[in-house]
Amino acid sequence: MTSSIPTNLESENPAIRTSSLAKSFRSNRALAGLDLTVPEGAFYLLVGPNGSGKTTTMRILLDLVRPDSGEVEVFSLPPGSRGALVRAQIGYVPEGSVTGYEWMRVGRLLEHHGSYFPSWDVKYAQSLAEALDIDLARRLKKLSKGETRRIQLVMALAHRPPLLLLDEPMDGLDPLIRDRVIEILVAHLSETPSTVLASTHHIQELEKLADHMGVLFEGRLLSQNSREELHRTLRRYMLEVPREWSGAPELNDAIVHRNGSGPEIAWAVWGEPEQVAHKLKDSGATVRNVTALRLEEAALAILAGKEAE
Amino acid sequence: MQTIALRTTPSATTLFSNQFRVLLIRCKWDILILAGLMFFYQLIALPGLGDTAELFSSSLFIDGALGQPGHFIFMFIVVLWSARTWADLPPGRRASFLSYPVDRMSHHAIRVLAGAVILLLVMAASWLLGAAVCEIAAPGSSYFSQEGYYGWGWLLTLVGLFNVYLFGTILALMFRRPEQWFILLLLGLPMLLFLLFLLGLTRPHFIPIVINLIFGLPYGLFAGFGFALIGSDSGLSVSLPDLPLVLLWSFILASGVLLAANIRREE
Repeated sequence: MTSSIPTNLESENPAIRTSSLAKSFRSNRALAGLDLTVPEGAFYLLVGPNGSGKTTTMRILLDLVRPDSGEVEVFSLPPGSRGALVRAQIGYVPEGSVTGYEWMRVGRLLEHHGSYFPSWDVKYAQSLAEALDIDLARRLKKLSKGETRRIQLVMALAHRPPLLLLDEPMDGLDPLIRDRVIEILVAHLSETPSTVLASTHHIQELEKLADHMGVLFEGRLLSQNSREELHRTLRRYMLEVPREWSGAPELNDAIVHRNGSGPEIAWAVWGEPEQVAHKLKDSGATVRNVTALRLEEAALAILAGKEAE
Repeated sequence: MQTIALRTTPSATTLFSNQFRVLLIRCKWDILILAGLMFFYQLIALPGLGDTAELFSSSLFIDGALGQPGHFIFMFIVVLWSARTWADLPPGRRASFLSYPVDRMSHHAIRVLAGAVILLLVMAASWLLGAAVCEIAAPGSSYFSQEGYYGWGWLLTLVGLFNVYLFGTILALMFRRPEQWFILLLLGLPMLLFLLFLLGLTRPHFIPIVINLIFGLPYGLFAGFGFALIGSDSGLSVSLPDLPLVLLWSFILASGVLLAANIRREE
């Protein structure tokens, strides 16, 4: 069976569910009917170009921004009316820095932050700060972007929330610290089972952890799948095609991205590999090679295909 | 249906102690200056400084509820304090506390309360200390011993200044530069009335009447701030606002604070 790439993800216990979510900032449309489903316990990678709506989605989940229309639930709670309770379940690493308490020293900020979360684990916060090489005596206003990001990670993890919203968590971090953050996340998730929704431009760095991926473009999901499903069903087909080849009309809906011209082309196609290969052969093409795509390759293929439209 | 055990939100007492501590640390110098000014003002009442006291009294035609010349100046100090309370959490910006597990209005209300408690403690402590010093230096010289002191007059002054704090808080929550708005309002209203008068637009008297009703004495906002109505038709008379009226203004302004705290700003 071949069909266009699915955007609906079934889950009995979604940690996050949005339905037809729309949001505009004046004339700028940030979300245009987002149907996001993040299963409980998933590590969901939300990818997309700048301005595709990743940050707005997270801010709506925290009730920092109210949607114009649509529904949203976090652990079956509506953030609009149960904002405080929803935020108690979330560890949030915001994109960029946020205002407030620049006069504080890092140690005091962590203490202050921890007082808002009854489940704050002081020892864990200390160990995270040590692991991330954080100087607790530094004033916030003197911190670099990378230092701020490391502190935000401690603040998000140390109350062991059931849901982590990580908005570009690797942004501003040097390669050494990035590796350490991955190690910390792996250890954290093994000790504290949580759901993670992470947006990133560095897909390859979080790829090892991710088991779901959604590709966002202009406020709408182009695809939303489990890693296994993507790996099995979205593949790159290296084809040799005769001159005057008229393509494979039966696969039109399933072709995610077309690359190359002339006798050798590469298509990313969604569908059962045997059926796709069969239809390609029927169209007159010779399938030279079929490869599964890594998450980053899949995201790039999906986005490139959309931009080429 | 969720399968996780939901985490709880912090208690109101935890939040209050949190905000109280943050404000004490953040504004320690402001608190010391505030206390110092209030203490210093008590000393003006000392007999040795009588000329200075008269100078202050006579130069300010609007006087405080207790006949204190400091009332007018304290208003500015209190407004500055309300602005300082929010200096590190400016409205309309991505403040970190917005992502905390606290209802926005409760969080604002608790911070306002923490600021008010500090303000009232500082005022009460510095006035009592000032009065004690006055009494020790010259018995009968403190405000509390002077003729014209009303039994509950000090409460009127405290509530009046508390109302100024609430008013300043509304400005702080609504605008990025609350001090400017306060000064603009204070100077702008008389200037607007004067301009209307010059332009002959006061003919339909409702404009100045409405403005006076809302802001002026004996029932307007300035009565809520504890200002006395000074009359001179048959000798100098000072008419203090009623405490229930001032408390009514407290209620109105506190409601205004809650409304201002609920303003959502989205980038």
